[in-house]
Amino acid sequence: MSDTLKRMLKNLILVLAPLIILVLFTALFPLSYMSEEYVMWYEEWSYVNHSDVKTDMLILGDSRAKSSLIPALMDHDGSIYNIAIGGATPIEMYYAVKNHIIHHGAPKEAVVIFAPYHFCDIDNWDQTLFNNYLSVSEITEVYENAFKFHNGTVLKDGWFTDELSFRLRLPNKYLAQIYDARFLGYEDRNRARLDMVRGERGYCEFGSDPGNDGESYEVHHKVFDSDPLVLYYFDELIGLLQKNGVKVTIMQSPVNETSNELITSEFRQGYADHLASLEAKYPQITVYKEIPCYENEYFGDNNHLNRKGAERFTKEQF
Amino acid sequence: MLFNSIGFAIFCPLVIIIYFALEEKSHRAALIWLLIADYFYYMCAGAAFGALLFGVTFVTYLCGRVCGNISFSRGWRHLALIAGCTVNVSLLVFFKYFNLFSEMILKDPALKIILPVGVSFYVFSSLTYVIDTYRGEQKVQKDFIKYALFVSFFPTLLAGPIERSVNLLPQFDRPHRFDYGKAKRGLIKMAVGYFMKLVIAQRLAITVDLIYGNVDDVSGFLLLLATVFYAFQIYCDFASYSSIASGLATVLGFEVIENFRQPFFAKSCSDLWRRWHISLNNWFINYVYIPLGGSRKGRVRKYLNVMAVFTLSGMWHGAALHYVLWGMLSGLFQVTGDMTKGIRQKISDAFPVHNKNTAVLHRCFQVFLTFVFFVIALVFFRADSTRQAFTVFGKIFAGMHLSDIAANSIFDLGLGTFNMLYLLAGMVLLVIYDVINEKTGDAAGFISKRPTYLRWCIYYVMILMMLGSAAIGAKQFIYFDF
Repeated sequence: MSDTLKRMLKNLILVLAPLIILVLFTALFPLSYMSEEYVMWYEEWSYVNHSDVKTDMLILGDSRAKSSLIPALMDHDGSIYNIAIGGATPIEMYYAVKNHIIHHGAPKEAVVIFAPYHFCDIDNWDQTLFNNYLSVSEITEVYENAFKFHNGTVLKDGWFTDELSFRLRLPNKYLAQIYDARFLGYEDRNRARLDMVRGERGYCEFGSDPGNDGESYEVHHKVFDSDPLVLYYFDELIGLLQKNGVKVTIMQSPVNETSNELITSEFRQGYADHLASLEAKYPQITVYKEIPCYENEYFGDNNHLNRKGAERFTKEQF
Repeated sequence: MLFNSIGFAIFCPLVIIIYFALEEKSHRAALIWLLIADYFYYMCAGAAFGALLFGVTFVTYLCGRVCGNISFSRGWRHLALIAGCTVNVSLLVFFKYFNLFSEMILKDPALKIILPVGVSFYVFSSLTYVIDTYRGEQKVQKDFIKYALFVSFFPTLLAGPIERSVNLLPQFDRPHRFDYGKAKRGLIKMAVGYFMKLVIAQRLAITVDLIYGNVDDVSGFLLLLATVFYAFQIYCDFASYSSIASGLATVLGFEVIENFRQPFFAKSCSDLWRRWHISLNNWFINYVYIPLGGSRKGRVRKYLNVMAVFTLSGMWHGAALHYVLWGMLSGLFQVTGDMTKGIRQKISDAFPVHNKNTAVLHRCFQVFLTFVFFVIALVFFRADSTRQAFTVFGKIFAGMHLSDIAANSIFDLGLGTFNMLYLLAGMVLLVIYDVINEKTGDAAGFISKRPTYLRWCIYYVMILMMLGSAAIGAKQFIYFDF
């Protein structure tokens, strides 16, 4: 190797050293600076991929599933786990179940709860990327499918460099969060949260108001306009569960009184049609089609049940 | 693909490494590779823009071949010159003014076209070739690849510097081997550019946008502060692009014109315009001011020529009255400065004490006054409309109260304490760099000659400050809009 090349390589390493140190910190110590929401993603991911707890029933879905069903109230032997994720769509849940089956085998039963609007919007894709939830092969598959369905949310401008930045834990994506935590500031809080969510076997409160009369996301959709990529992954998810002999129940989590009044009939009809088509396509699964309405006092925020609401919902369903 | 994007961080080293690898084997192959890289880079902004770039290149190439070929009659050469200039200027006018035309004449604001990024820059560059070949100052370039490279050279393609063909074109004739010294100098220039953009310009943009986005609700003091901040923002933003472009060209073995030379150390308005956007001002001097007669036809004609140049410069920046007013006001300041030069000199001479200290004070006063005039004109440049500019002036000159100064903390202007201190530290370092540049003429060279430990201290301060600015997020360079 020539002297010039050696000198250049040495200088390059010296120049890149701070960046490499920062990237390593970002990749290796996420719990010390990431938000509380990340803790739920991390808990779910580590349970699905690394835990040796045996599960008979999985609760799948988004934040409404996460905050609606309390496994501890449903069994006495610890065989139910809530692996729903706040902000998840069927995309994340499909890979969660796939990994769960690889590492734990298939459960006997699965309860699936997605907010109706989550069939229309992938509103939290940035969180999926930010939390590095999917592996490289999984995300590649998602991009391939997004191309197939021309999905503008997943394939937004600069998706490739964004993905690269998230994957390599580059500071343009994480430094704001690291500053927010002053590098190590969230470690204790996040560890405590992690222990709590594990103790609750995945259940987690999203809002802790003693009551809420705000409008849920469905109110802002005039019609039920489903996203083809989400539907594709929902189909894949149900197909995967069916293939592995899992008994599937699709449930609806409640909305508050305000939202119940404001959700348009067109939206309700569209969603009902969607559920009816599911029922027709998969006769073996159980589909609860009605969206229940609970009093406002059972809501911790405009979309999620508080603990009191979750206890009521869990007891009513099981 | 912005200079401050991840895409560019991949693209740039790849182009450089393959370029030098090819130069070892074949100069021609290296040039072709560079041309492919240029077009790829440009077409990242929009695939159709590549056709436009090629069109401009092809037309000016043909015109240049006729203009510079003495076997053609003078009439034909003249015709080719007119054709080349007309096509290019029409193109520029079309892209710059179509939206205004559709709004004002066709009364259809929905009918809009996108201004192809960089078009103002490469059209002006290619015009230099046509005109210079006609004048006999530039030899005809028969090799289309080399000519296409001159027009589309990616470091300078999107926002200049606007290179004259006589400077850049001959550099494609000789092979460029990798030179460690040049690469180091180029990388320092690039680092300084990135520092100006990431640490200073992007932070200033947050405050300036916040205040100018709420002109009706903020005090005159804040508008004054925002305009002063904007002066530094646009300097750091544009000079950063030029510095990165120049540094990148240096790494590749090319030398391009320096676009900025510490403009805020200027002692007069005319001095400032010799230091600010030098390539554009040189272009106007060479191709507008001098052909109009320059200063050779009396003072009145000279002042009219200056006003014409600045008005055109305003029009070049955008199809809006506030840009034209910015240009005219800048011209007016320059003309006034020239007209009062004698009087000012007499006042200075009549000053009772002349020593080193008063000379420094005098210089500081000149620099301050020049900056004030620059900032006044800049209100028209930053404002979204002429009406907004007058609102800003109204608030600054008539609506400013001392209590406003006490009522507003600079830490509450969108940045917070941490980022504001970060910004101020960055600006102090920039001033030091500019002072070194002013004294030595080559701060990058000056730094590269310091002892190793000192150099690396400087590098690490810059690297850490740039890295620490990653949280701000990448923002487009202001001059991409022009």
